[in-house]
Amino acid sequence: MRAQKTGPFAGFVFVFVLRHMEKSTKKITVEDIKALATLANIPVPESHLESLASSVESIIRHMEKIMALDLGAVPETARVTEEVNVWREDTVEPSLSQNVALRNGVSHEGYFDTPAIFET
Amino acid sequence: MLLNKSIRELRRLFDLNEITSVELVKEAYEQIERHNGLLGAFIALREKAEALCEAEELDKKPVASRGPLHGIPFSMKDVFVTKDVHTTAGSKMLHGFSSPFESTVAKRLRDAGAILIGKNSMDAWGHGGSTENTDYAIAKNPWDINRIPGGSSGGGAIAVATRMVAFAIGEDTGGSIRNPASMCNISGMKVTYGRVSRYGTIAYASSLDTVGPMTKCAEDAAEVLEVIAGHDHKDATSSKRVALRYGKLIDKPLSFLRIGIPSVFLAEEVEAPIRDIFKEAVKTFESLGASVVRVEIPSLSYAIPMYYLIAMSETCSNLARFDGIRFGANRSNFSPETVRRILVGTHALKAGYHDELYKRSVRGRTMLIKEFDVLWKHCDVVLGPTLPSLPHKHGEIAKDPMIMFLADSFTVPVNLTGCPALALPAGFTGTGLPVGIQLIGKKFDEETLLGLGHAYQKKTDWHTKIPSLVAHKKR
Repeated sequence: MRAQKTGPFAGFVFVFVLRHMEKSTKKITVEDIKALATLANIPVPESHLESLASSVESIIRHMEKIMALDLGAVPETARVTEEVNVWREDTVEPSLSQNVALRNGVSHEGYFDTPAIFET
Repeated sequence: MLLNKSIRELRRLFDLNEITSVELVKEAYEQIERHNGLLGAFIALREKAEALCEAEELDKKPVASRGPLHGIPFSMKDVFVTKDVHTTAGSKMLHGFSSPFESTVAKRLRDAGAILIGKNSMDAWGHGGSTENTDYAIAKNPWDINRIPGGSSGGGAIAVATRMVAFAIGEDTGGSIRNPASMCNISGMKVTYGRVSRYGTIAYASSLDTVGPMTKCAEDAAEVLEVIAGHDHKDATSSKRVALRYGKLIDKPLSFLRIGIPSVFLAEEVEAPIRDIFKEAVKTFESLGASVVRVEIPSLSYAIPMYYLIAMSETCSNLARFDGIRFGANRSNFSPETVRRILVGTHALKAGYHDELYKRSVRGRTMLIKEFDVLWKHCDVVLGPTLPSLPHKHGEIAKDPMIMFLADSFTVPVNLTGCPALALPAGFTGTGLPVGIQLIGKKFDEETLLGLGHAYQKKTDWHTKIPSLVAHKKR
């Protein structure tokens, strides 16, 4: 028989969520989604707000399992590369022409055309 | 069918002047014309005349001056920028984007004589494990067209499984090469972080993204990796360690190896046919002389939240550059799945939640890395199923995103640690669905994984099976 909600940790995650609800962040509301969308600079249609609030909350509830991990004094790992302080010689190399650099954007007289910042 | 042959065999036939690149390219386009309409493996194809023209030029080269992948047709996930084929990352945000430069992986392959045929379907921006989250044609599994091919590099897996190309290049952030490799019965390698340059790869999550081969067998993966691996000054995370002659090294006799199996890989939540096939694979490795040891990775059960919190945080930052000014359409064009991931990432980085979510994840990542370091004292490689579940039917994942996230339970720990892993075909369920296994190794030890994978494939024939819809043309 195939489990619909598959994954070796699904049951554990569910039990965890019940036990740690008191630790979890607050419910994600439509207002929260609007605030997140503003921070992320993404227009979200009004009709998507309810479903996004529900699915984002469901994902965050699962991800909050990380709050139960006993970390002690473990440091952070932001990258797994071995390389540190990677530099190159400060020499001029061939680069893009103005026309090529502009060809995928909206341009005007050889410049990128950007949205107005100040209202007139 | 020429495209059924290994890269080495094709090279041998080229050296004897028994085949031409024009023949291979024609065969690739024939297969694409036959199957791509149904399966949706490609977002963009090169003009056939243009690819044939390149093949004709290559055929004129004397044998001595030919590259290691001379005349061999290949495809790439549509996340690698190429000068002569548009790049979309599976999103209409970038529809019609014409890159002014070439990704390092594309350049290295073409310098080695390989011929680019087209760009493969994918979940937009790598966001998904089904190749359904796309603004282009939804890709279908060639073993059962009602099911997903896996993802996010689903198109490349289909193209290789149905012999539309000799090999493909994928990108693996949390399993995006291994997941579709398992679902489509091909071999796929997630390389050590830094082993292959990512210059010209549209980023999903920068601390996790890797570039690797998707091939018919481990031997082909070694041949392709030999060409694409190595330092690139254009990618600051690219390793300065010398890349090896992987193609030669896979034939080296295997020394006695200890294979570690974490108990979670045999947990009852793993679907029964997958468990059974995995146990058979373990016996095969034992028959090759390997010894099996049970190991534990205590933080493994936290890998999913760690991975998704890090990946979504990084993707909301990476996708901030798509402002519709220098390239691409405006930000209202992100698909619903991408919007959801950006919002979750923004939440995880937001003041008040950052310490409890993002920071805990990157600290948990350190724990997992340390546990893997200890693990290597007890075993040389880790073996497990690639996925805990079989390919879902189309539309099932859209109903509940957690189905998609939990399917990644066995693949994401590898990306968090930066280790390499090789996905291999290992058998079929009673209903004819392919099941894969993965070998996980120490950092920069691709050599052992490829050698062991090659030995396994000399003993088994799962990797030679092709979907029944693929016409068999005898040569």
